[in-house]
Formats: sequence, structure tokens, C-alpha cells
Amino acid sequence: MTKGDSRALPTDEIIDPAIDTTGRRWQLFQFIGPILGVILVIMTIGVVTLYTYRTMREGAITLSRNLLKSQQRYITEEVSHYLSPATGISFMASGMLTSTDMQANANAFMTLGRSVLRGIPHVDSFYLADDQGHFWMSARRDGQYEETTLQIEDGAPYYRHRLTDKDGRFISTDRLSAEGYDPRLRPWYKGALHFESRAPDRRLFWTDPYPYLSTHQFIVTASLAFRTLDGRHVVFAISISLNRLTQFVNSLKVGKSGQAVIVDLSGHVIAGHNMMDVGKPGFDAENVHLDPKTQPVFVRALNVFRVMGDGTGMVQARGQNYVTIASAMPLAKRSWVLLLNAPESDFASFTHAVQKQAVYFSIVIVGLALVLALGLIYQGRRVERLQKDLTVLDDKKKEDNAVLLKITNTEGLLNPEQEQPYFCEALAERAAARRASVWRLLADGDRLLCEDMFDRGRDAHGSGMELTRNGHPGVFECLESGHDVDLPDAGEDQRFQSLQRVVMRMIGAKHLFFMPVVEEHRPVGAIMLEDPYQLDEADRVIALLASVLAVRFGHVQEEEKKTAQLQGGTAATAVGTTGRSARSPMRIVEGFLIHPEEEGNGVPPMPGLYPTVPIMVLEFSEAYSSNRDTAQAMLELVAELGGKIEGIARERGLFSAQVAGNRFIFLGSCSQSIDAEGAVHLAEAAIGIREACLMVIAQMNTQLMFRIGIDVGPVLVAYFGERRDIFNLWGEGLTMAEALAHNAPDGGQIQVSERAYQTLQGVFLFRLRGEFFLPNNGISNSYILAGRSESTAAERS
Amino acid sequence: MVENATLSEGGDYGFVLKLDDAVPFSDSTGLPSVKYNLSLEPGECVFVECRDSFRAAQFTDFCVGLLPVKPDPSTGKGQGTVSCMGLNWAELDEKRAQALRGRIGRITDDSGWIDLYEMHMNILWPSLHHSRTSYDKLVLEAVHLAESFGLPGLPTQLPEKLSLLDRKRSEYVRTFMNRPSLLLLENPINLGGPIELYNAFLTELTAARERGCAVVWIGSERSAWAGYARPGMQRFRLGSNGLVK
Repeated sequence: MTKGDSRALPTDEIIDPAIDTTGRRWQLFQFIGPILGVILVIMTIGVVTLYTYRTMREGAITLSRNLLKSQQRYITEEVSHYLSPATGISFMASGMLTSTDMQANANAFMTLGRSVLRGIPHVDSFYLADDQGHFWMSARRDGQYEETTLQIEDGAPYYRHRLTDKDGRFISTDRLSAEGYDPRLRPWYKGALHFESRAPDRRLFWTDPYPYLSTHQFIVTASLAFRTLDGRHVVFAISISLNRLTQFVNSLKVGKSGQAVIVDLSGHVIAGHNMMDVGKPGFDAENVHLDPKTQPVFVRALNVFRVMGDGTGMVQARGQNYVTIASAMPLAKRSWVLLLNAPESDFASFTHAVQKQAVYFSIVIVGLALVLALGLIYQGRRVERLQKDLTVLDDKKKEDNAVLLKITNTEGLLNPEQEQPYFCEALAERAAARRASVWRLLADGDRLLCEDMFDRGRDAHGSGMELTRNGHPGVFECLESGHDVDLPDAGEDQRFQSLQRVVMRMIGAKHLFFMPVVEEHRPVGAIMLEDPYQLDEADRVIALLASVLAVRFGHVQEEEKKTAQLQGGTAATAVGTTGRSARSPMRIVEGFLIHPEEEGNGVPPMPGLYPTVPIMVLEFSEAYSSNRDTAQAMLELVAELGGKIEGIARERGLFSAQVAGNRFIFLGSCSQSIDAEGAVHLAEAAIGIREACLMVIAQMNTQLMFRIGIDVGPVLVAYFGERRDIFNLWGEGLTMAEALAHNAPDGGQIQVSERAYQTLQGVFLFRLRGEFFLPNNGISNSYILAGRSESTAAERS
Repeated sequence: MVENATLSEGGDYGFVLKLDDAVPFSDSTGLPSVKYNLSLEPGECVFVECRDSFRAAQFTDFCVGLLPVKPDPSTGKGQGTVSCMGLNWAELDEKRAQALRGRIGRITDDSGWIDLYEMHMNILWPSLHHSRTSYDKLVLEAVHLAESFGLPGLPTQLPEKLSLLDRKRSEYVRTFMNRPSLLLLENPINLGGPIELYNAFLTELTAARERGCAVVWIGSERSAWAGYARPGMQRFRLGSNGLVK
């Protein structure tokens, strides 16, 4: 671990103090700000567009109403004009035909009729009747004029038709039976008499429209009653064809696609779209009504008129708004109503167009604003990134400088005698490599010796590994070529396969960076980086170290060559004489003060697991001394203590006592079942040993101190050696006893585990040290053995 | 120290703790209001001799930003700076300052045990608060440290139930938990304790320094660090005229 690591997180911190979060807030604003701006622009455009649309729509509707009103006035006028002959001619006739001589009246009537029929095409015919049942009629027939008189011929009533041309010249005559016809029974006659007493402007009687079958005309008749000079009642009637009115009404343009219709209050159509087929055979003009399915707008407009009277309205139907206007027809029959409608869109459609245009423009503006906003965000992010890159670069430069500085400041940088572990650490750190190593080429040129190898993950150094030319010819080939090699997968390269297997597989590395260290054009060593994550950042360190190593290794190689030359061939013979034969044979020492076989009546315990064995560990800790005299004194002291300990152990009848380094291991007993007595003996031995040792130590001026741990737990008994006779034990009980001895709170104290305490309580006095947690054991108490309890001590004494 | 001087030219890089002409905001009873200068590289250990425990406590408070820098009446800014790992305490918001304090291990005279909670909670709390490391991992680390300081395991009783010595051991565990980057130790060693504990403490201290942790060791007597000090380590005396070499 190097100094650079102190900057790394100690653990995964929740908040990294090195990161300033206020900058993040600004970043967030930089991102959200432009988007908010665009949203604001969109909302403003939306509101303005909506307001404009509403204003324009209102204006358009007002305008269309005015338009409809003028249209209505025009139609009313036209219809009045259409029906005006009825009024004018009737009143004229009432003045003209008052002579006492009815024949003279009839002649005048015929002349009047012919002249009017000739001039006004939509007037269909005239009737004249008196209270004595006389009847005259003037009408058209096949382009000529027909004058009809009801008269008695051959004792029977006949219509005598007299055909004339337009000037009244006789052409032909015929007759038709008029059996049963009495003009006085006709509705127009009766109605006119009925209205006679009214004010002059309201005396004209209008019949309901009816179809006239012979001429296929839809006709309405107006009649006026008056008296001749001698006081006889005469009724004058004029029939007007409505076929032409329908044509007129249909020809009217209301807005773009609006319609007009004239109906009576019950919805019976007088003229308009429904009457298109009037005049065609089979068309029942009398029974045409507004159709609520196809003409919902007219039906509702009529209903509104019935309630509210004249006026404009707005009707919604078929998913569209319609502007309507309804008005009574003052100059015609009183109950007739003129209805007009036109879809709102005909007038307000331009507002839709304007609105659409506005939306398109808005989309363009919003798009532009979005592009600008995105540009702004992008630019902001770019600047941010650049800034961050610059900071990172700056930091890296600083780190690089610090490492380089440290390398150059190292003491004995170029002195090959002095080891430099920091080189590999610096390499591994800067390149973020899993392992970095430096290799020196030995003087024979056939072996690469690992001078230092640093494992970053384990934070450990290593050295001494050797690569030979025979084993790794490819590596030596590369080394001699003098070029760097960077292999993402060393296992796939023929030259480095062997190296990958021998060196890199240890840590499972794949990526290899290999750089020969060259001194005066000859290789002297190599630098290897395994799995370097940031090789680019290490180039300066690598370059510097390569040159430093070149000097160091070059120097060593020179020295080696010199010594090799000096020693010459003698070295080879020396190897032959100093062999293994000179060494003394290995001795196997068991280190038992009390051998298990002694206590077990010569029968050693069987190998295997013993679940509850009382076990005690005594550990000496001392200040070592290199002073010969002090060491000698220490040895004597230890020997004395050893003797006393052995004596006590024997006295208490312990199963075994073994010396291992600075520790004594005692077994109270060794049996498969729990042996409380063995444990008690062990504890008593512990107290005895403690007293004896303290007494000896107190008498001498020494730092030597001891601690004792006792556990009752499982141990494994095994036999080793060629003859399988070396008794050995290990296991959880031993580990625990060792830990207890090691962790005893103070020198000279006996620490006892909870299991041992369970076995020994009652017999001895204990002091609770506390509760402690261990990952595999959970929470358990540990105790300090103070001494024998008074009762048992007394018993014993 | 040559290295120090060269590095300081490039800014604060490389210093774990740096007091740069910093004047503490304190009255006459505690830390004297004079300029303090101190710089610690990773792995460095400085010794400060101070007989007054209150003054020592105020000095460590000053180092961890709890005692603010005195404002300059003319400019309104602080007189000098106290920065930890390159971050100026005066410029950090509360959250970041607390997170930074999470990287510092402290031993104080009063130990600051919370008697309402068991010792293991007292030990683990700082790490649980500052890091996302799992509870089990933290327990493992604590047990490991506890064993190295001579405890049989992680103590789970209330602090008052433990012996004075075991409390001291627990305090070491708490201090070295979470691999601190800076250690501020006020009288860490009581010479009356067992030699093994002393050795374990020094072993752990050396390991921490090896990892790059900087150490400020404040002791009432020089003898406390006599066995540990090496030539080249900075030594100061904290008296009524500030930090003196």
C-alpha cells in the first residue's frame, strides 16, 4: 500500500466528502433550466393561440349572424314579392268587379286574368264566384289561355272551356261535366266570406297549400270576398304555384353550405329542400314534414321559434355548431316561418385555418427553441466534461509528479546493493496493475531473476523467481529484441504462453505488459505489469524506472561478470564438495515433559476426535535479548521454571505436558466421555504453576511473564512420523486455549472459557471478565480463575 | 522533510492534515489564539507534548474542524486554514464535514462511551453511520482488532461493566475501525498497562501508518513515545505560546 492509497475510500462511504454536491445542483439546473424555458414558451404560445381563436370565433359568429339576418330580410322580401300579386290583384279585382252586370264582371275578370297570367308566370289561375253559384275561372293550358265558365247546357252543369291566344282571340271551345260542383262549398269561397268582416289588410284568406293534380303544381290560393253594387257576394281567388318558390328557396346560398326552408308552425314544409321533387308524378307534396333525422337543425330551430319567437340561435348537431335564424313571414300566411341555418365552420372556418397556421408556426418556434435548449444543454455538459477532464488530468499529473518525485528522492536510487521495494509499488499503483515486477538478467544471459514483485491486491512483495532461456525461449527472444510488448491475452501468444502458465496463472492475470530494460543496447532486465488497467498513465513512471533499473542492473551484471572471471573454474569444484552429506540428519523431537503413554498405562489414546478434553495452554512472553549474558540467565530461569512446571504436572497426574516454542500444552485427560476430575486436576495444576512461576519470577529482575488459558473442548488426536508414533493434537479446544492464554487480561492470569467454567464452577472461584462475541461461537462469557473456593480448599486440607 | 517542502509548492497535495497559519477561535482558558502550522503526510507520525488535557482536546477539536478558525476582523475571512485530506474545514458543508470526520480515528481522554448501549454498538456505530459496509464485515473487522488488542472477542456488555483495561482495549478497537486516514490520539498509552497491550497498540499503529494513515500523538510526557519515536519524526510542544518545535 502506498501513500497514494490514503486518498482512496477507506470503505464504501455513504457520503464522499471530496465530492461537492452544490455543483451537482447547478448541473441539474443547467439541465432542467432550458427545458423549463421551452415548456414556458409552449405554454405561452398555447394561451395566446387559444385567446386569439376565441376572439376570432366570437367575431365570426357575430358576423355570420348579421349575414344571416340580411339574408333573412332578403328572403322575406323575395317571398313577399312572390306572393304579392295575390294581395295586389285581389284588391284591384275587388274594385274592378263590382258592376251589377255579372257578365260584364266576368268579361273584365277574364281580361284581367289573361293579362296577369301572361305577365306573372307563377300565378297559376283565377277564380270568380258569386253567391248564386256562378263560377268563372281563368288559367293556362298548353301555352294558351283557357277561360272557363260554369253553365247549364242541355239541362246539366258543364264547364265550358274557351281557348284563346294571348290577345283573347278565339281558338277553340270544349266542355266538361261539372256535375256536383258548387263553388260556394269550396274552402277558398267559405274562408273569404268568413274573413269579409275583418280589417282591410287582414281580409285576404289563404288556403293551406294543396297539390293540383292536373297541372302537378303545389298551389296556395288567396281569396277575397266583396259585394257588387247591387249587394251580391262575390269572391275573387288567385292561385299561386309554390313550385317556383321551392326553386327560388333552393337556389339561395346561405354561407357556403347553409340551407333555407319555409314551413308552417306544425313543421309542414311549404318550400325548400324537401320539396325538390314537387311537380313530379307520385310526389305527395301535401305531406312533407321536416325530418328530425336528416334535418335536426331545422327541427330544433323551429322548436326554439315556437317558444322564443323570431331570433337567432346556435344549435349543435352532427358534431358541429350551426348558426340558425327563424322568422315569421309577415306578408304571406301568418303561420309560415322562414328557417335558415349554416354551419359555424362556413364562417369561422378561417379562424380554424388561422389557428392551424398558428399551431404550425408554434411547432416551428418550439422546435427551434428545443434545438436551442438542447444545444445549450449539450454545450453545458461539454464544458462540464471538459472541466472534469482537465481536473482529472491535473490530479493525475500531480499524482504522477508525486510518484516521480518520490522515486527520484529515494535514497540509494542507483545503488544496486540497496533494495527498492517502492519501484514495484509505484509501477503497480500508477498502472493500476494487479501485479508489477522487475526482473534482472543474470550475467550468463540465460536466466531472468525476479528482483521484486508487488501484488497490489494482497499488498505483498515477493522475489526470487527465475525464468530460464530453455523454459521461456519466447520471452528471451522479446527481451533481446528490446521492444515493448503489450498483450491483452498473454495465453494466446506463442512467445509468452509459458510465462503465462508459470507466473501469471498464479493470480489469474491475462493482460501482460512486458518491457525489456536495455543498457547500452544490451538487455539487462525487464519490467512486467500484469493486468494493467491504466497503462497509459504509467508511461512516465515506467520510462523513469526503466532507465534507473538499466543503470542498477548494468552495474550488477558488470560485477557478476568480474567475480565470475576471478573465481574461474574453482567455483565448479566447490559445488561438488559441499553437498548435503555435510549436514547432520534431521532429528525428530517430540518435546513431551509427560508423554501420553506414561499416564495412559502405556496404552496411547486412539487417534480421532475427542469432544470434551480439558486442555490448558501456558504462554511465556518475554523481552528477547541479544545480550549473551542476559540470554544465559534467561535460559537458566526457563530451565528452572520448566522443572517446576513438570513437577507440578506430574503431581497433579495430568495426561500429558508438551513444550512447543514458548508454550506449554497440558491435557487434563484424554477420553471420549467428559472427565470432570481431569479438568479439576488441570485447574489445580494451573494454580500451582501460577504460584510457582510468580514466586520464581518475583525473585529475579526479568521481563518474563506468562499467561494461562483453559478450555474444555474438542481436540483431534493424531500420530505422525514414519512409525506413526509421534503423538500430536490440534483442534478447536487447543485453538481456544491458546487464544485464551494469549488474550488473558494481564500477566500471570488464568483465563477460562465458558465451557471450562461450567465444568469447574463450585470447585474454584472465578471472576467474570465479560461477554464477548466471536463470529463462529456467538456471545460467550470469559472468566478469570482466582483460586480454589474456600469450601473445597478446606475439604481438601 | 525535503520531500515535504518540494510538494507543498504544488498545493496541498500529499498532506493528510495541514494547519496553515491557522488561528483557533478560543478564549484564553484553552488553546491559545496564536498561529498554528503543522503538516502531515500520509504515513507520517508527529508527537505533541502537552500536559494540559483540556488544551490537548481543544487542539484535536481544532484539527477536526469542530473548533473553527478565528475570523479576521478586516477581511471577514478566517485567519489561516485547517485542511484535512486537501479539504478546508471552513469550506465544507455540515454533511461533508461529518463524512470527512468519519475518516478520522480519535482517542480522547474521556473516551466518550455511550453508557446506554453495549460496547459492540459503541465500537461499530461510527462505521455503521459512515459506510455501506455490511454489518457482518464490520463485526469481522472489529473481532479481528479486538483479538489483536487482547480481547477474547467483541465485547457485548455495557461499557461500565467492563474493566478499565478492557475499556481501553475497546477504545483502541473503535479507533482503528474502518481503516482511518488520520489518527488523533490524546494520551493513548497508560504506562501502567501490560506491555503486550502497548506492543499490540504500536503494531496496529505501524500497520495503519503503512497503509498511509497519518498520526498525531499527543502525550503528557515524552516517555510515552520513547520506544516508538525515530529520528526525523516531527515533535512539538503545545504550550501557552502555541505549537513549538
